[in-house]
Amino acid sequence: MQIGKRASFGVFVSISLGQCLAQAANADNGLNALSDMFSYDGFGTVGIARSDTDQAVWVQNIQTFGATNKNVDYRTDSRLAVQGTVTPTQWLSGTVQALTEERYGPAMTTQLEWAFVMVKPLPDLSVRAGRMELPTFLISDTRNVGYANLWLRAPDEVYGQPIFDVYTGWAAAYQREVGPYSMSFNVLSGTSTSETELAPDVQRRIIGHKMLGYNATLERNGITIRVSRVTTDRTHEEYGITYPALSWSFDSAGVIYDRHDLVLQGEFIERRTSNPAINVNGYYLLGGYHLGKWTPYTLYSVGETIGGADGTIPFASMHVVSVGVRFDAFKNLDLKAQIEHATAYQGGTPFENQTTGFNNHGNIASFVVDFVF
Amino acid sequence: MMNKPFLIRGTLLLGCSLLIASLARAADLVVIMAPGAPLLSKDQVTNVYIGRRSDLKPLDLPASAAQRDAFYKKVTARDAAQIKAVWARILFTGRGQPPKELPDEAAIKKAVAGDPKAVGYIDKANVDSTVKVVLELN
Repeated sequence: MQIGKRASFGVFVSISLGQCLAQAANADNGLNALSDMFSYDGFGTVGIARSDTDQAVWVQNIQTFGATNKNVDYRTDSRLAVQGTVTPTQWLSGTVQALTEERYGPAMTTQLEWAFVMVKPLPDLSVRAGRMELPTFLISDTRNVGYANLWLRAPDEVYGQPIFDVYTGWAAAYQREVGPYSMSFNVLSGTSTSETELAPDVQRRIIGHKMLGYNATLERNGITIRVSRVTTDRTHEEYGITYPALSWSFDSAGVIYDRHDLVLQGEFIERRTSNPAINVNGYYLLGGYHLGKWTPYTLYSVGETIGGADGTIPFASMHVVSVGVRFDAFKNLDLKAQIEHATAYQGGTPFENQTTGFNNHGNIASFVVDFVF
Repeated sequence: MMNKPFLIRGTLLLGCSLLIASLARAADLVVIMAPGAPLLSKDQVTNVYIGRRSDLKPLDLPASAAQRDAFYKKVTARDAAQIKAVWARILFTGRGQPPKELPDEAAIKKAVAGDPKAVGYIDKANVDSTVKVVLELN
């Protein structure tokens, strides 16, 4: 959803609701105090990236622009989000978040990533309805928040596979403390639309119908284990033709260890479709160590089309080795630098517009500033 | 071979560092709630302060307060920046708000005394009868 009528309506509803509730807030009726009722926050990243080759363009996800040796790219990692939350009572809240970044197409665009109402009928249970990020994989719903992650960017070999990033529908979450553990179970349902560009001004519209998701998380003080599954009937429209729906599923199992000074994170994912040629396995391993404000890290990530048993569908692999460092410069701001060596799918991702002689390898250097406010 | 002045300076520096470190540790922190509240385990306090329990309301001292870093190190085994990243994930998925920040220990005590769901942390020496210690962090 581009910012437009619906966004204005959402903001209008939030403000109107807030004003009505604010008037009643002075009475002792369970409403939050005015100072606790509204909050405005935001996050962003300013980044540049450059590769060491001019024989191909290094591109992430569905983005149009990327880095070469001649072209320092500033669009890949740069983004800005603002969020408004109204919390009239302990059991009711509304959240709207708009994010500006490069998607498909030549310009950076603004989209509502989150616009939902949340109700908590019990302290352990929350139900949300509206527009939300799809939590397909371990950190899918926070991959844009650079400050919240150790790496410079989420590995595209895994996080570029889902296609769908935002859905409209509902989600229910049940969170409970069991002994020293915290457990949560989430269920979601809805529909999702994603657009990519086939050629300048020619879009492919991908629609996920009957989207269903389930995930479970077990945590104990810095150790997190999460498993999840998302299924959908995916169809797409291009050149005025709507193609029949095919079943897609995304599975993930991930672990985070973040205690004392050590950070370890790993995840394995599967994308399964009705078309074996685009079935994918992916995984990554991240390791980092806090040395005061500095956290050097290394990341290895792989995305592979798994191929067909009879050999008619070829196996293809892309893998990336990265080393980087995060520096927590200020209370709300970090700097990150990363160098990665990327090996592409034969003739494809993450290198586009390949010229003759390109050997499917490239080195990319990136630098970002992440902030929250 | 290292020269003597270097060794003496190094020893003095190390001594001073240890002294400062021991002074910083000298203050024992306690987790407090309103009188009548049940005791909490370290894991339970962690879950409150990293957004995994929404039935209690955590309160924070300002980021500049030395007790804040010490509290998070002792309870969550993570520093303030790591915890801020945890809350950024919760905040920007609309699942909750970070702990409310109050200016000093007196404000924490007052807020805890007046709200049975509020949880705070202060120096043990500042505990009085208006609050109950639900966890000691030695």
